[in-house]
Amino acid sequence: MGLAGSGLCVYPAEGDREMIKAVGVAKDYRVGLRALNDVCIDITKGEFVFIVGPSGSGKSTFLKLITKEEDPSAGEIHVAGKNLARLPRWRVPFLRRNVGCVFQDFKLLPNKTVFQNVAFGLQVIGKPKGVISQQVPQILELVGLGEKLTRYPDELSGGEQQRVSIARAFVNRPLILLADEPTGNLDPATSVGIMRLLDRINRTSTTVVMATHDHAIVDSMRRRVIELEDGEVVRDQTRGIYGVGT
Amino acid sequence: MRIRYFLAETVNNLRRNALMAIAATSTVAISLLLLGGVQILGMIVGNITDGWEARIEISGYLRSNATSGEVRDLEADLAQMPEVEEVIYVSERQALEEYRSDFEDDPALYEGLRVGDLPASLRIALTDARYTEEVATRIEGAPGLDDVEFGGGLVRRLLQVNSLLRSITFVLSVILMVAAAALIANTIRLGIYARRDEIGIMKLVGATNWFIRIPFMLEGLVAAFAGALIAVGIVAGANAVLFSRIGDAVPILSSAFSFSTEEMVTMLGALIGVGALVGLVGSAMAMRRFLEV
Repeated sequence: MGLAGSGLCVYPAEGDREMIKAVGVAKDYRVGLRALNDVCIDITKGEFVFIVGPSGSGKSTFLKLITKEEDPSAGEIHVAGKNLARLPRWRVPFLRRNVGCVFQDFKLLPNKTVFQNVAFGLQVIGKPKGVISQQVPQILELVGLGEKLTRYPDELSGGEQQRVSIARAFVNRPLILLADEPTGNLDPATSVGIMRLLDRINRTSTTVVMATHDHAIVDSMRRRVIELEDGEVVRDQTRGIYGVGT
Repeated sequence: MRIRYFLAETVNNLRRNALMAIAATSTVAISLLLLGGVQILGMIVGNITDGWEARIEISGYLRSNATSGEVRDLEADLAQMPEVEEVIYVSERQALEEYRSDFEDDPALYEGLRVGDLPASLRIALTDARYTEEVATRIEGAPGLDDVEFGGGLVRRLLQVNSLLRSITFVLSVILMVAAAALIANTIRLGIYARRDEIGIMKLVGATNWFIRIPFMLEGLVAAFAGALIAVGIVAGANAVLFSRIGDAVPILSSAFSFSTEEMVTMLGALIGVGALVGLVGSAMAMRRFLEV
């Protein structure tokens, strides 16, 4: 066993500001198919981090490790100070209540209204009705859909659907918001709106980790950029752009 | 609020999957009906044989040349046995008279018979039909005794047929119940499949596995319970309406078809219990590989 090449990693002292920590993480889906290799990443509370890299570079796999949808083949993942390897299976739902997720395909339920879609996220974690009827309109107001509570997803534009999805991910005020290519299906103008929303959420000291290969967005935001290539971290820049010469 | 949510989801699932749910419910009903039928059959046979066993006696036919001393010794021996309730001496004359009265309507059968053509006998009543064979073999070959007869063979055969019939139907109903459990599992799986997007989101936002499972498990239980109620309703209805009529129409069967309320309630309760078990097993089968992440 042992950590694959963990000697290469250098970490700051552990503090309570540390939100996500990957130590020498590797992930093999099958023998010979390595999605991540010796990944060391530290993300502190309130950071906004882009994970960039071509398709198949391991971005999505890294996000799945944070929600414990996948377990690393080697190394350790800590989220909010907890080692996920030691997190019992029945605690995983409670981890996920602290990690909001947004996807390229929105994952909204077509037979539920905007309000019901967001309410569903609270309902199934056992939140009482009073809390739901108070928080859902509030968050929908925040994402700019205060007027469209009773619309169905197919009556909304792509950008609006993604706002509903963000509202659902954020309504429970998680510590971390993970976004996997949230602008992948959206035109550039709409994407800018989504990025403003994510930036606003980040300013409530929510840690935002966004996987993307949208150059324009990364370059305009000037936030921390971690670049993956073939499952390895090849660049980690505090105020980066998408890539040199790309 | 949670209970309302679970119930609403359960009703939704059942409505969406109505056809599968009906199939599962009717399979449960049929298998339990079969099981109930077996039980009733057993109760009927029990009622019948109870009456018969009470009437079983041993006839010890005496040799025509048996001395009165031999007969007295035999009577004394029998009277000492704890299994023997009563010994009655039937003389040759009495035997002939009984025979005549049995076949009163058909004089041709007894016209030529005279006293001495039918043997005298000892009629032995037992405390329990179980001892029939034992007592019969014990006195066989005693001096003065010609032949020993008893009616146990018929009872034994009836009990054998009954137990064979019960085994066959039991196996059949077990097979049907396994099928019912599988159908319930399948109903639930279809429901899970139809709602995989919702379940995906539930996992994503951190719903616990039990929260996700409960509506589906309730669905399986409701389907099985409905089947059990149908089966119990039919059996209880048959008991109330049909069986008493059979007794009225064919008086000889009335004792066979009369069941005590207590044994009926116990049996119907057991059917419901088995139905609920089938529902639980089916649900468990559906959940086994489900929700691993």
